[in-house]
Amino acid sequence: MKIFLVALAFIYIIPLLIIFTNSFMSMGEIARNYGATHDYFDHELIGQISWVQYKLIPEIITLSQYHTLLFKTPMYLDFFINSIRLTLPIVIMHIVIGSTAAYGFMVWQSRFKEIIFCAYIIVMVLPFQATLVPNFIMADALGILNTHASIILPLGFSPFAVFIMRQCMKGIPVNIFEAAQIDGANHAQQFFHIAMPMAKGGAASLIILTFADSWAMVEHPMVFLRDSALEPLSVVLYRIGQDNIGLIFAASVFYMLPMIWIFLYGQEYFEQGVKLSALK
Amino acid sequence: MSSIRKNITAFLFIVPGFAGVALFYVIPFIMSLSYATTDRSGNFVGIANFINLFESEAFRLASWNTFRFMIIAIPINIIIPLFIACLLFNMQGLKWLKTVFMSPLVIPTASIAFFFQSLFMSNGLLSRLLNNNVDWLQTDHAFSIAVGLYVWKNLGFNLVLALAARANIPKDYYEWATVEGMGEIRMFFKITVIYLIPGLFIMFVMSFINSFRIYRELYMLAGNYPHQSIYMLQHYMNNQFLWLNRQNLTTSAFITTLAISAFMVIFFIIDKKTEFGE
Repeated sequence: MKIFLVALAFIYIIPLLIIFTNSFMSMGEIARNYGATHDYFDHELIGQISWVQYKLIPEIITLSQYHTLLFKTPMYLDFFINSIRLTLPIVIMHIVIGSTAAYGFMVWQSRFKEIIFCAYIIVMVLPFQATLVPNFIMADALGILNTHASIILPLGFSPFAVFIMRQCMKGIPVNIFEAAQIDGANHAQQFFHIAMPMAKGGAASLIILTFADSWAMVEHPMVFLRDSALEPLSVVLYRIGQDNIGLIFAASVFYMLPMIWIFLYGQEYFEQGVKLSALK
Repeated sequence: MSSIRKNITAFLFIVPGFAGVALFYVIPFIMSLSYATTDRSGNFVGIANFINLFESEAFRLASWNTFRFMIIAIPINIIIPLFIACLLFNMQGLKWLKTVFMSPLVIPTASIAFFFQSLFMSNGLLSRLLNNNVDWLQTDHAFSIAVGLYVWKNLGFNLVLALAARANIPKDYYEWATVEGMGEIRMFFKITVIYLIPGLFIMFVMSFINSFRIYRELYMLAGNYPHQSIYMLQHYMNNQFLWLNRQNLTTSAFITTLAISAFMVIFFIIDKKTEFGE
């Protein structure tokens, strides 16, 4: 069983390993090893099949991919900044809205509470394509089409944050709040001094999940942004993969750095948060 | 008096998020419904758009594929992580493996598509091993590849959830059971399985959300018109968008929303009844 699990884990880690090591490969070698993937009619011309070759260790170790990416084509830095400009506001909105609303759902006494929450869950699970027209209508009405705001606002208000934070706050014992109320604490004090410190893990896992999700956005920019200079790296990578395969590995590493940093940095809190949400 | 005022303050905490959801989702959704009941020139046509849609083969295929994908992929994506979690939990020194299983979450979708392409293309690794030069993404196996891709990508998060749920089961239960003379297998079903149920709620919801997100990978793998076994509702709606067919798009969005709502309401009621979520 142990061997089975380790083997499975090995399969999981291979793509990451290949991305890292092949990012030091020369572009010519990449074209030789993988180029055939994308013009697969080639073999009919040459008369023989050029199989895809996976190679963990490059023939020559070079920084040429990174050099091209960072110095010869500086627009990739702009795309990286676009990704940050889109992701950070969404993460901040999620933390603020998610934690306040989750607290509200915990303390607000009303029979509409569960109905509203059920509606939230429905909005949350809908595929993007189903909310596309509503989002589009509103962006059009506000005149924000083809700006980052047309993506940030609908995603920032997504009920996902409320769901995760509420799930984590459910683990807080009610009598803590009762005791605080007897001592005369108001809602703001209870929120900042009890609910938030106890849901810290939940907030951390929300940051990680939202960050991972927004950083990887694909559909929203393709629909709402007509100006390709505004696109995030996640969409640009798709085009690199199609017409400039030699850069894909270094560009992927470049793309993954913030995510890996956030994962490693927040993992401990993340697990705490997950534990809270699985408990209830 | 003061308790009513406190309740109003409590409500104020919900208002910002509620206003945003209403403004960006609910209100424009209701506005968009006018497209579903009118034709292209704006004349009221009743339910004609709905009838057209149900008669459309592409829509029926897309709905069926999406449904089939969900009922197959979601259970797999819950059972396998639970199973691995139970194995990992008892293995000292191997818990770091869960970080490895999370790794697909950081890999960009474009690179995932690139890897899967180089595995399953006609000159890819699989064809090379079998020496048959088949483009697997253009066969009926495309569906299994899609399920595999989904499980590979999303297993890690559910595994962390499952491990957390497993860690929440008190050790005493197993000690008592051992004293009572319960066997390993019975213990697994009578204790482990039962106490993992509360964690299932969030695992299911996350798997459900992510089952729609598989479109990202499928789109990058096979474009707007993939093999018919993986032509999903998301492809259908996206193509309606590209053709500027607002009637079909809003009508299918409305049907999808309705179907998901019905399902979620039932799920929510079961959840409340069984106190699954409390």
